[in-house]
Amino acid sequence: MKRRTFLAATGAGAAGLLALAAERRWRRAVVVTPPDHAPRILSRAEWGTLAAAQDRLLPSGPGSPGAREVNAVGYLDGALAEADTDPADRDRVKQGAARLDALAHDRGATSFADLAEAARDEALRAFQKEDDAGEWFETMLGYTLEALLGDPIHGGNPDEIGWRWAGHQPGWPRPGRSGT
Amino acid sequence: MTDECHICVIGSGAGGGPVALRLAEAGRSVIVLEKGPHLGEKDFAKDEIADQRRHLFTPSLRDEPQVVETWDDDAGGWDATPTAETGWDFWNGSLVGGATNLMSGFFHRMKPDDFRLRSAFGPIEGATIADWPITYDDLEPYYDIVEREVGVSGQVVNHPFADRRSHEDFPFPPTLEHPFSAHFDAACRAMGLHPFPVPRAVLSEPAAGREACAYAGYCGGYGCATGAKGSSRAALLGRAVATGRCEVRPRAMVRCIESDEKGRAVAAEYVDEHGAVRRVRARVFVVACQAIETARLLLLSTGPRHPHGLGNRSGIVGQNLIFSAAAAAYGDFPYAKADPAFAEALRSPLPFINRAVQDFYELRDPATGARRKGGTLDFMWIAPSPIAAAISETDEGAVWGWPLKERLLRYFRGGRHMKCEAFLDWLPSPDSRVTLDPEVKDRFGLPVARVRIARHPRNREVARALADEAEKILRRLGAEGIETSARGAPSTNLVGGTCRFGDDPRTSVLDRDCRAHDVENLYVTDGSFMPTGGSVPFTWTIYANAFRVAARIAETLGPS
Ligand SMILES: Cc1cc2nc3c(=O)[nH]c(=O)nc-3n(C[C@H](O)[C@H](O)[C@H](O)COP(=O)(O)OP(=O)(O)OC[C@H]3O[C@@H](n4cnc5c(N)ncnc54)[C@H](O)[C@@H]3O)c2cc1C
Ligand code: SF4
Repeated sequence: MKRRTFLAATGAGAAGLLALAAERRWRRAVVVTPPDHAPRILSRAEWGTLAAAQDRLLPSGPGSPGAREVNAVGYLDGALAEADTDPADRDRVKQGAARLDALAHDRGATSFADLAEAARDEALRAFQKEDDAGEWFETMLGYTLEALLGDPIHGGNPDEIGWRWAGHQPGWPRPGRSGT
Repeated sequence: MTDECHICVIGSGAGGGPVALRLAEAGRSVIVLEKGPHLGEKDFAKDEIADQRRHLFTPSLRDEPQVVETWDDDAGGWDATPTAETGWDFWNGSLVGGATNLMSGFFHRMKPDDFRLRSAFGPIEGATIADWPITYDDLEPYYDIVEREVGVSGQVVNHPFADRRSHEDFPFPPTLEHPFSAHFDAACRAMGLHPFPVPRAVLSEPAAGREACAYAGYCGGYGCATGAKGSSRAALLGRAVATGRCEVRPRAMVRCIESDEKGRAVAAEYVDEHGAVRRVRARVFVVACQAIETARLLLLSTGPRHPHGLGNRSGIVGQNLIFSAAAAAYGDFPYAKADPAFAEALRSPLPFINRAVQDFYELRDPATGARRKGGTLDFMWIAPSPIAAAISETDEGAVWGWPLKERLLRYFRGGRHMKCEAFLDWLPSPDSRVTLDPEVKDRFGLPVARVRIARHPRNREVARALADEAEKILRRLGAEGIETSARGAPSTNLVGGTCRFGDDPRTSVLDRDCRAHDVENLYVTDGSFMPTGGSVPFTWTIYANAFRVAARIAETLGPS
């Protein structure tokens, strides 16, 4: 278990991992792309592929919300559309989608989303063994878990479904007052 | 808007707030220049995505990086990397009130021997340890002032390293405690240790227009919406402005302090929020940008008499950078393994355990048996930032799918997670230092700070010894899955030492009043002055010293 890797590297625990910041503007919400709207950063095809991948990274089950229930792909598209998002994140996410589709071709499907669940898991595991794939998994899991456990103001975690599943008591006050 | 004042304070955190308040109270006109925005209680919300993951309170590392130098064993040299490409980030809070808005407010005083580390424990090879030019008794009245002016809650309990105090009791009773605290006391006492309640810069009762703590968690790393947290903004700057003599200018990035032919500081030049360059002229300048940025600003401020930077005739501005060297221990308390009453207690939502042990403030050298410095052990629940916790459970992206969901359920629903933070001295050295980066510039076109992290091997030895003691305590408490980390790594949020004070202008930047030896109207009041930082977090000491220096400045200026 290496859940404190970053803390071990830097001593105190104030800093975060991703270099995505907002300073000059004072603003909180990531504007999320709703599922029925045109994607902003992802192409339609990438949207489908990444949604199918997130569905395996954070699967859904009875009483157990997954990527689908927390609007993870709409959240991802919205977060990538943020002006302050590191362009490297956008490129990495898209390259990963292309790679997953290529792996699906090797397995006789037209796109990753057309694979059955077990085949998607197998393709993801094959992808994970490739050089540099680790960063894609980290990036995707980061955004997906934000959609599961972030404040609903950002468009994930609808009706606090993720918090309720985790039994998490949010802090007070919640964002969204007085123009923040 | 006038651009003339008696005192210009640069940076509005723990170092800046006390000076602004005291000098405004003394009838002086004060302008505070702060690079971050002015946010208040109504702006603060508990939003992990914005506040933590998108670093709402600190500059973008792509716009305003710093460069970190760490030793690369393979290459046999220093490896310099801009912070945007690493996990490092030395910005701790760029807003009115600075990082004090975001601190947890675990407050400890330094011990008398911390003021004379070299005399008390002897020199250590490879470390530039120096005694402070002042003693605990000189600073004690100001620690006391901080208890009242900033608001410190606590309870005096006797223990071998208990503080000598001028008031018998704290002005505010301790904050509410989690039921675990009683268990902690019993377990530690059974080990022959002396647990005590950690003083907190958190109001347990309303005072001075600030509300009491709401105990809603999400404290460290988040702004406080009640005003209970003793930030420089909530506790000091509001009162300074209320005198009618203090103006706080947010989004004012000071890029240089100009000096004249005589070597006196004459104006602070800053970039305002529209990108316009403005100047504030003052009789006295007080720099408090936190130790790394303070050193950078002085190095950037060259002038006719200060070719190597303002106050840098000694050439040592930026050197002897210190942190609090860190060690940590972690343990889990699963509900399933606790008896029903204890499981019920574990589930209490009260956020604070507030317990520390200082029985290991001094240790014995394992080889010689000689006395050597140890540190403080603080115990707390791991702060509730669920996204960060969930991401750690992925083991850097290796774990996903159902195995991840099982881990998440175990983490969130299976029990409580405790952390012990050990604070120990970071040994200073000329090599541990801040310089101007020769290439990388920030969005203002200014060379950024290059931070060299030179670690003394002793840090790690002491860290190991303290982590081992923390592990024994966790074991006694009944924790499972204990892990320790004892790299003696630098804390990125406890920073000091780049302008050490002392009586010899060749080996120190500031005199004992924290005035630059070679600039008669320049003072530095953040943690930069500290030659050593004690085995405690720094902020109570920074606040206290800033109140002390404010009193000196007021005296020097005479009646207004
Ligand atoms: C998450 C977190 C938890 C913490 N918990 C604790 C704790 O429990 N106990 C403890 O003792 N300490 C704690 N600290 C540390 C504490 O916050 C600092 O020690 C303290 O704030 C340092 O005061 P300072 O005046 O040096 O700097 P700061 O408070 O950071 O203030 C410096 C200010 O200067 C401004 N500035 C910088 N450069 C310029 C410039 N060129 N022009 C204009 N303005 C500038 C910055 O924007 C900033 O607002 C914590 C810190 C963090 C981040
Ligand atoms: S109300 Fe209390 S717990 Fe909440 S941020 Fe303020 S001091 Fe911390």
